Amino acid sequence: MYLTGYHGTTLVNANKIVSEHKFHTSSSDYEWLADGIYFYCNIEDALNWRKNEVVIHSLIKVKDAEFLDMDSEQGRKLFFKVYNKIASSQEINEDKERFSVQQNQCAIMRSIWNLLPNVKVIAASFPSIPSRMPVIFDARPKRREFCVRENSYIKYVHIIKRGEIND
Amino acid sequence: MIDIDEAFSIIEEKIDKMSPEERVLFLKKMGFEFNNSPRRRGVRIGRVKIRRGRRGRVSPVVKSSKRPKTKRGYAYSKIDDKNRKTKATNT
Repeated sequence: MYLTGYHGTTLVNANKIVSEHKFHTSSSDYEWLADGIYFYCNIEDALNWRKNEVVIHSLIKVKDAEFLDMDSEQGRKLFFKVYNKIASSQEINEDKERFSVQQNQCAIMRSIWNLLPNVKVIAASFPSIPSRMPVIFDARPKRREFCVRENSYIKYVHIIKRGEIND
Repeated sequence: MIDIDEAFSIIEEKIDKMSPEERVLFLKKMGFEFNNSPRRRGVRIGRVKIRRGRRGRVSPVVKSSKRPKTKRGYAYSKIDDKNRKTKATNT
């Protein structure tokens, strides 16, 4: 299967990525889908993220068995099972001052990546605006993104400048 | 998409196969941190059981015999003493 993704960046970085055909892998404890190369499904989201001047339009080739969709019912079921398994196996430090939601999210996703080495792409939707007050029903608008494990799965890249996009 | 039941059974098997030490190391590598301090685990130091959630108030170095106890046998700190006095004054 082929996935279309948009990666927002600066023009200098975009030229480097296209010439070397190599994306920089994001790897911090705050990455929502853990370590990998991030793409938005929507070009607008890629442009709006950090007000990027260009986006890199990319095609990602992946087998069905290598793709995990966290937005699907099955994907959420897997996440919840892994979350329960980890939470019941050890007494996790839940000190909210030291561990943010993002850090816990990243740690669970990193566990999934490491325990399932066959998975090469994970997709999920996350709120596009920060939370102003904690509530149970999260109705914030979401944007879908996916994380690619390795550069070799990215088959095509093309730079699109902000000005080239017609309304 | 991958088969979720199969994926979870692989994950479960891998986690269960790990020894407790290996599991802690693995999860720490993933970015988790654990409550391993004696106070958080509620272990006994001397004769006094340090209650969970009383971190920072009770010093485990003070010998249990020298420490005043509440009716339930738990240690209490100077902060508790202060609160008790305040409460008594108010009433």
